[in-house]
Amino acid sequence: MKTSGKTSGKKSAKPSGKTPKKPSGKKPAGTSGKTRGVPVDLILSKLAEETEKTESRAKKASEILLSPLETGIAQTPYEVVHTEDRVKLKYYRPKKRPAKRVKTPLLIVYALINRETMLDLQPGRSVANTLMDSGIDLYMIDWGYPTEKDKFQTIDDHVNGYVDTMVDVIRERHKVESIDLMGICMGGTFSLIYASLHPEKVKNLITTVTPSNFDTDQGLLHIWMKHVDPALMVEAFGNMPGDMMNIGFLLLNPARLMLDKYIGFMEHADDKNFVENFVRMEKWIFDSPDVPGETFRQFVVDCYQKNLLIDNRMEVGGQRVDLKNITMPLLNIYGNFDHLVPPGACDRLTRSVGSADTEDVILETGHIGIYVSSKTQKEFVPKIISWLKQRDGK
Amino acid sequence: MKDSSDPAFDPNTMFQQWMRSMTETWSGMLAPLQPDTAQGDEPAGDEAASGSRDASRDASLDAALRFMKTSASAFGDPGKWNEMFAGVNAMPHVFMKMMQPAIENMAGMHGKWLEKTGSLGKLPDNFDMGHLEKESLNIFNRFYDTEFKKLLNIPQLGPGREAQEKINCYMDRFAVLQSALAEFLSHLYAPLRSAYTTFQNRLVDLTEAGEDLPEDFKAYYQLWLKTLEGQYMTALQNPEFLGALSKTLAASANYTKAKKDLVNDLMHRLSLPAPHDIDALYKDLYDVKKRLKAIERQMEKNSRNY
Repeated sequence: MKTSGKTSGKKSAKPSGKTPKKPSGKKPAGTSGKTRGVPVDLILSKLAEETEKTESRAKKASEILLSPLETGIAQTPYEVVHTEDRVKLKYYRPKKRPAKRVKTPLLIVYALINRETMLDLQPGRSVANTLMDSGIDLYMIDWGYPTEKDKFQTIDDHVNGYVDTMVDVIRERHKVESIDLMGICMGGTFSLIYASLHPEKVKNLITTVTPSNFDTDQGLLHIWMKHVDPALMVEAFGNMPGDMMNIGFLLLNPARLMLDKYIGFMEHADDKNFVENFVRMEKWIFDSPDVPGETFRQFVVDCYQKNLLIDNRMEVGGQRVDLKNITMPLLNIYGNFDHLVPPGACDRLTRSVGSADTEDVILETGHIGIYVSSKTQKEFVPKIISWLKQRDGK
Repeated sequence: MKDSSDPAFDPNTMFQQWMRSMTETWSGMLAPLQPDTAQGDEPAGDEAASGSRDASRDASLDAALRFMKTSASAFGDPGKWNEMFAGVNAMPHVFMKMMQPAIENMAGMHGKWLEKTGSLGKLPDNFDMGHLEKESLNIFNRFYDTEFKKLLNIPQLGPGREAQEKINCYMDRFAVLQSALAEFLSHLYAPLRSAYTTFQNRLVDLTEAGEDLPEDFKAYYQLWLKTLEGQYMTALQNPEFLGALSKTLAASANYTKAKKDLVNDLMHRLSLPAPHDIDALYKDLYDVKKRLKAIERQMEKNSRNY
């Protein structure tokens, strides 16, 4: 789950914003008529100007890089209220209760790829913080770091095991019959499966950048996954190595993610704020736990290769997952420029569930931009809060 | 110095004389070592043991002396000498007979090997110089599959058979992985090359169309980057890349499996728990925990109903 994100040098990736200027002043020797070649003379003079700026930028950048930087992630305080094996349930206690608060607690189920710290990446742009401030009792599942002994764990173990246990813990703590559930990416798919198998425990369901229809060629990942042999990989590696998946995600857009992003960093290395946020994002991107082997195998075969979920043919723990069982309100949010979970992977969901109260929200951003970009911070979290508030008393 | 044509000079006689004198010299030198059984002045005590050691030593010396004497006297007799070396003339012929087929076989094998390795340098009829890396890889893969891989598949014999087979399998899979990686990387490199060409062509097109070219080098970088991104988007979903991706992942998995097999084998020989033993334990642990959790849930459900 990677994208260029905020720190990927998008600023530099954009054209300067100016329309290409006509060569000003006198024409260099050797040019005549309308057509002229590459204005090497002007480029060189510009380059000379830039050299001075670069020198001063490098000086400032070295001062910044050598100074203490605030690059911590997941700084919002929380308490661990339940632990099972490697999995923890984190509780973010609201500091103060606003008058119109959401009474139903919310559980966020993150993907097994990368970590839930993405929701609390930097101060001022923390999804967790904003939800807490709105008075929501927020819980998040921290999947931890699977080891060799976890390689036999299936989707059933995650959904009917860990998620169900955590939901029961929250229900017990708040003395409620059902809770609000929000899934992110693969965690959204888990949430759909859970809501289908345990609809009585879910009051409202929110899926964000959640793949449900895998039979699409819009994203490279969907194409690639049809050409891998997950059984062989699991047999060889046990768990699916996080580093190997990271390389795969970088290869989805090598020009931007392996080249332009770091050029962008060099160009803005004299901006302390930029550097700190860039380092935070790097920390998150390369904090990649392995995925339990059997879960990876089942997810790739049943979802990416056979597309069983959207056709109500997937089986988890011996039970068929029927999306028509999802009768609670559903909010489905996805990014229009998501290269990992493209719109084609998300837009069939609301038509496939049994609920009459569904809504699709399409944001003009990418996979990670939904959670970290300043623009979507103003749309994404407020939308979730208002949607939950509207349905809280019902 | 005497002339060999001198009738007084007879080499046989001279050799006989030399051998006789040598025999006498050796006999004289070894005579003091002969046990003197007549002398009985050795002390008693360790006599029995030392006597037995002496007797053994004396028997060896006696045998050696008799052999040398016999040999010396045999060499001193020209008749025996000729008789002994009569077959020597035939030896080169026998050796040649033995060596010839061996040498011919080796030369043949060497020739074949040269011929095969030489085929690496030969270009097939449909060789595409435009895709040099790909064609070179194809030639190497063909050569490896048809010639070299066979060597690693030669049946192994004896008690070390299984271990040797695992080592051969590991070597084979390592080579396959390197080849797959090289092919995969060549696919990743291709867009870089084509982006550069496309970028240049685009500049030419713009110039020919009479459009003004940007004077800011960053604009050129952006143009190149956009071109590169486009090239990658196309390249990363073409069937050839998908084939290479699939092959590389499979090769990587197979190599890892072969490596684990070797490690398992080694750990067993060292009487240490091997990874697959620990896997079996993990599986047991997983099953037990799953059953335990199911029982706990059932008990909780029952207690609630009760």
